[in-house]
Amino acid sequence: MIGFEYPEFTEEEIMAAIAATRFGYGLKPGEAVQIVADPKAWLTQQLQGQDIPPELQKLPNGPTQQRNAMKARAVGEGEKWAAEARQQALYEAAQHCLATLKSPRPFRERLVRFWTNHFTVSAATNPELAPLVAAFERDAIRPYVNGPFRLMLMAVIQHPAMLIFLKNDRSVGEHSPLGLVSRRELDTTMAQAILERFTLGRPGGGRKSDVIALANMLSGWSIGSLKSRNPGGFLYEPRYHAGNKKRFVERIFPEAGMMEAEAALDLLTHQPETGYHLAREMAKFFITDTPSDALVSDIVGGYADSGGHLGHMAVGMIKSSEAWLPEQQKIKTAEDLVFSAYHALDLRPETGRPLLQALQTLGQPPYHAPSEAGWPTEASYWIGRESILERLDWVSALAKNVDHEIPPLSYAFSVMGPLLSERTARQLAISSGPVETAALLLASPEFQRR
Amino acid sequence: MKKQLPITRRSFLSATAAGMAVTAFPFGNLSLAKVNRDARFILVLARGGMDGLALFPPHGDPDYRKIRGRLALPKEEDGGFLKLDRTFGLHPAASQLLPFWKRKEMAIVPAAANSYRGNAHREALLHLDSGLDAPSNPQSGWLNRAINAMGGEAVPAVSISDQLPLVLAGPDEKGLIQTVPAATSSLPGFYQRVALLYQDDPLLRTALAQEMGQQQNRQSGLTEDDQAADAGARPVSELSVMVRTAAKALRAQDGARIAVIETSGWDTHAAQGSLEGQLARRFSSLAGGLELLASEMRDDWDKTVVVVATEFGRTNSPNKDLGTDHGLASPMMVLGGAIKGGKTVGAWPGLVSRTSELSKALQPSEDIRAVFKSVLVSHMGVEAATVDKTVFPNSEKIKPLSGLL
Repeated sequence: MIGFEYPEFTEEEIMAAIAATRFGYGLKPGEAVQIVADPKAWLTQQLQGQDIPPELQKLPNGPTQQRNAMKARAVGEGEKWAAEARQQALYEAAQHCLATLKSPRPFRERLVRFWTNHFTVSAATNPELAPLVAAFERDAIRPYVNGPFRLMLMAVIQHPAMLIFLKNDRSVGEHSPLGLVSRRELDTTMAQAILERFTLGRPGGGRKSDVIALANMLSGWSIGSLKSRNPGGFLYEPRYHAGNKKRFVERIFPEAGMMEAEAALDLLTHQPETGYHLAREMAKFFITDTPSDALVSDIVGGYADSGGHLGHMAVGMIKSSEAWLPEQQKIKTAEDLVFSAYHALDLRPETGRPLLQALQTLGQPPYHAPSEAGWPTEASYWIGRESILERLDWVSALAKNVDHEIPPLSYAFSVMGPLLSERTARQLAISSGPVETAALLLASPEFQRR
Repeated sequence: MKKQLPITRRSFLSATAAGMAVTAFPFGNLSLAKVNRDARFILVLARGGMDGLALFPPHGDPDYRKIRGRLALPKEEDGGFLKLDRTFGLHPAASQLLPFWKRKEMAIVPAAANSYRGNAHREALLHLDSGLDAPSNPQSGWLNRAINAMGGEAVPAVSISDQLPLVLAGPDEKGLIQTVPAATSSLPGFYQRVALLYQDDPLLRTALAQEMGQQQNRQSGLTEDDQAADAGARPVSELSVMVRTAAKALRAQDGARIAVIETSGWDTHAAQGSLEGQLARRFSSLAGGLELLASEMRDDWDKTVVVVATEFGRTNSPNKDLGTDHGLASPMMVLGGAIKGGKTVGAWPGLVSRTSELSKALQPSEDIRAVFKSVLVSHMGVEAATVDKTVFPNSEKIKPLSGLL
């Protein structure tokens, strides 16, 4: 192309593009103007506030869902309820997609997504769990993303979705009143998940004696029956609880009923290992599959200096110079791709259905993480499982929604800014029309990465 | 003398032997009085031979696990199929269809096939689309004849595909049928242009090159016949776009009463996957698209019937490439607010038949035309005699499937 000169961008313009892409769901045309004045402040301001997006208001919380399920099963209508529950979950998933797309605080949305994935509950192996999984994010994650880790951890562990998913509701402590007279046994699934994934990050949960001790302390953390004072919600059941003192992480915990596990969880949030594990996970979610020590320690700093405050931890990441390297190291997950593509084309669906459909097509159905470890975010998972062609087919189908002429280069720069490579710009300049322009833009490496 | 209209469908028609006897259809004996003008009929064609046994796993069949082998899905409690009844389950990737079943808006015809008994797509498609027993050079499709029988232009139809499918082709096709290319036709040379963009990105460049290579291998592994099967149809991953286009036409004032949507991507000779994989992703697209269709058609849903038809089922057991080859009958899905669903309609022949040769593919218990007849007679209000003589000539022996509508 003759006469094409790649424009020069200011430092702030580069940071604005990175802020929106790496920490949010990409830019809408013309949106960069609002960010460029102070990209870091644009991000930190999004942490404030506790509101639930309008699309997700007035939906039943976890205990209500669970109570309804128990009521239905009690009168032999469990199957009917399960069918309705699945449908309810589909509706909520679509609403959730719409809320994400329309959110004025995409960074906060992605933090919500990060923590939800950190504390994965999945309906993949139990479809009836889907509405509880949907409620889990609203009840136990959203209100806590800008608060102490301790509070989120407690809300997560006491949520019915988690108690069921990790089978703690059925766990009966060693030498507990019920354990002595029944054949029900201690279940260590939740204890292991806490030590391996939620807090310390020790492979397999670390020492077996610690796993068993924590499981015993958690025994009795269950879900209230219909006759209890909190039907469907968290209930401490002393009859399930293991008596005796416990030795855990080189400390002695005297017998203290429900307070044992509370103390143990609190202790875990203050372990340096926990800070490092969370920081590494956060760095891997937002910035790179292979985080440098410098990046991790910047994030740990935010966590440790604030006594385990998740908002400060996020700010620690934003303040790290390593977070702003120009290289786009992460491949977008299906979710990142779908929402950012809708933003880039400025598409405004009336319902969340097309978004939900896209996530299903591209292999990331909401509430159905493939394993207890949650959705992988590594490039190896998203690229190379026959997925590129599917992505390309999807973006070219989506591009068909562009029904008006767009000037290829100025449009591309308005949504990509300095991220647009010269190579892509030259290809766009010779595209055959608006649809091809849009498709190539969404297919480009700089759009598939963030 | 009747003028023979050219058939615009698919190049393969021109390859059929010229000068063959042409079946002439009587168009004189029409009875329009009872035609139900509010009823909507949507035919979703799964070109390439969809593995209905993967979509509706017959878990209650004693030989299910033995015969399906590595394609068998885990049990419901292990996160596998969703149980529909004692015999059939639903692939979990298509879980969006479950509410239809519960609301009695989805029925399964357990083993439906057309009259073709060979394994060539081309021939099977000719049978499916023409609705004839021996279609050598068909001049029209059964749905075109049905539309003419219902009064022609009074019953407008749309086809969501790049070309008019044979099933709608025939006399007066231009007046009746509006071909709406789904806003999805592929961009020519798109992958190649993207490959240019990926030159400086080793990860994406390598992955794209590999996948394009695999696709090419798959295509060169396909016979000419396999490739012809997909012509004109769009990948099922684009179903939601096609559905929206169809629904727009069907909802319009004095809009279409009949729509045909063609999907491809079902000819899974290799690595079809079971719980996950390419076929699971396609089921997810199919289910999502059908759910979207119901939602877009919600005001008329109780007057709507949707039939998902394929030219043949696939072999019962996996081949050496963990795919399935061309088979015979297949579980077939009928949806809609107008049907009596939540059940199977027709007999389940079982995966194993008496002779080992037959057990390779599912044996039919119903002729696919029995399903179409049921829709035309009970739903669209076409006279039974017209259906037997004109729409499906010489088919009196095939009775409309009872219990469906």
